[in-house]
Amino acid sequence: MLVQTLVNGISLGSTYALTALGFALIYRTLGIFHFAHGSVYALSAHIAYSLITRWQLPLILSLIFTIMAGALVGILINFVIYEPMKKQNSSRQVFMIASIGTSIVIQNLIASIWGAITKVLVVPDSETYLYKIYAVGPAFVTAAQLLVILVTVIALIAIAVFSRSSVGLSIIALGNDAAVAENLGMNVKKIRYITLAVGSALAALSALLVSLDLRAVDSAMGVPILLMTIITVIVGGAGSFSAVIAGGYLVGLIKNFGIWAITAEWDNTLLFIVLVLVIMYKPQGLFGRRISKLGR
Amino acid sequence: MCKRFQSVITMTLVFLVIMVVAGCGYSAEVYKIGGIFPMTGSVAASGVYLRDGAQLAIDKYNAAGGINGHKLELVVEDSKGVPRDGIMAYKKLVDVDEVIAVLPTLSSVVMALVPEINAGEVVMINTLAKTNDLVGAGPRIFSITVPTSRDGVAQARFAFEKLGARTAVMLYLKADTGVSYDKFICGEFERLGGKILSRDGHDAATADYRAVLTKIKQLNPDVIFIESLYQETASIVKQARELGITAQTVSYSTVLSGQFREIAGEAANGHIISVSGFDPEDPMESVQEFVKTYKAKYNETPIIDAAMAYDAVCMIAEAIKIGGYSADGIANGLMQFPGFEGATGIIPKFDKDHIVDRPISIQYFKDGEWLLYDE
Repeated sequence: MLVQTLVNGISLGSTYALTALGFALIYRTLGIFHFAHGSVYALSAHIAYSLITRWQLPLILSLIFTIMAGALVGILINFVIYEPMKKQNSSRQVFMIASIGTSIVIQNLIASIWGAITKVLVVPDSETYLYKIYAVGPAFVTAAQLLVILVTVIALIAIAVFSRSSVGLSIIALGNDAAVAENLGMNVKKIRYITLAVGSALAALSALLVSLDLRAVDSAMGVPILLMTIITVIVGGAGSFSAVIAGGYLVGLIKNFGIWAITAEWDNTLLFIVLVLVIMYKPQGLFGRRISKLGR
Repeated sequence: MCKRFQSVITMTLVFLVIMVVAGCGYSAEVYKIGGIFPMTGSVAASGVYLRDGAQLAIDKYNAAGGINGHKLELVVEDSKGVPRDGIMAYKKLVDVDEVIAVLPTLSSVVMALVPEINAGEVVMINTLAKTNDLVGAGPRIFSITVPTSRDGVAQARFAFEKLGARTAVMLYLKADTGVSYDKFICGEFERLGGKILSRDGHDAATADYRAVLTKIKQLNPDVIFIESLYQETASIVKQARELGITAQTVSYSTVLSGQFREIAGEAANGHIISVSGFDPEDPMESVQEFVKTYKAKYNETPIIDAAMAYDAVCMIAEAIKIGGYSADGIANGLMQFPGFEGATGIIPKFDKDHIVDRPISIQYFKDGEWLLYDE
């Protein structure tokens, strides 16, 4: 049971880490509590459903197009909602409300295009290997779960490399101090667009992986993942990307190991207790370090 | 000038009084039936099926000339699956649309409406909520679905007596129906002499059950009772088999939906259900007629939600023919209604608790179809 729970926790934690990393990137760089992140996740899952089930594209193409679609959605949100508000020097609270509104609009858009009914993700015959089950010692794991873990690791390595590029360093710099970044001649508007694109692309990737594992998408799937994302970012620490990643795996493991001691209906309660304790005693997160200022 | 002004005021007041008086009482031109369905939210899929099923019945009666020359009209309000919004939807239907018959769904919404129905001049037919608290809940409250006290007991007895199960675990949806099933199934199973090893609740739209299933695997029960919505049940069954759990899975008939098979995949084989609702494969003529008509209009196979709403509208229509178009008239008509063959099969007469005592059968899934369990 220990090995099985560990495997389950790592698989679940991978999706939390990916999604939360995208959320934290947007929050840290732009200072926006991006409530629409959950809806972007759900929208990306539906786009993946259309690519895989309706148009029967090979998995690798669906992966690429889904990530691109997620990035594009992020860019659109910035273009339509956030940049105009930035020009008007809107407050953080107004940004948050706009984000909530955007989330509702996207959720209803999903329902009107794809319907509110749960859609079953049916992969092409060439991809049915995803549902094979493997024994890992005493534990069982599906190929889809292994894919989740593998792709997450690759994505995190890619993000780590990206963060050392000039664009990545610009994003970090903007997050540290927007005024200084602007004075240094950085194109902060372009960096904001890239941040929304990368953050949303991570949500899209996570959505596709989860949908492949669970074989279903529905219009409300963005809500629970948003909750877990916020918990992950707070528990891990918003100031550091490695802290957020660690937080994602920790939350995944808590959800799985917590059920050993208590019944399943209390797993979220346990997480909230951890969340409250972190906020009270380590507000910078379990793995984060104190940050003096968040830039815009 | 003053006299002229006074006469204008007087005429205006008379006009307003006439309008108010004329507005009182029912609009006899159209007989309205209110649907309080979750059109948005996490169970919006159900709302769509309910609306479409109800509308199909409305269309059938209107195509035949209506009831006593009056057309039927379905007025749908969104409960969002939440009691508070369900009450608001009800008040709008009653106060603005002047409906006197409503079809709500979801146990939490239905139970929230019970005091309103009992205090008002409205009749209610519950379509899907299985909570046992609806039994004998009021003189104008009816239910065409078998409550959990009967369905759950049937499941427990079947598992103990026919499957020989002596240990079980319960996975239930944390809503009125799931909680009610948990109570009656576990109560009956233990009364018979079995042992419930664990009871775990989950929220709707939960996707990953591997954590609780890993714990269940350790417990090694004979049977796993899954009392949840079809998507959640399918996910549990699928993930249980992926983890190597071989215990028999049993649930209620919410899974009689094509999507259960597609989500659960091969794991669906062998799953057992108690059926007291709708089976699209039922060869009964009335069932197949409904399935055919539904497919022709909506281009998909109906699920239990649509069938129940269809039958509920038919029963209200027939009750109006018997008792007249008033809340008490419809209630009396429903009690006198002898039953019929509807979209959900044979619907008997309402019993003294205003419940239709449908027969419960046990079925299992094998190679793409549901078969009657005959040992």
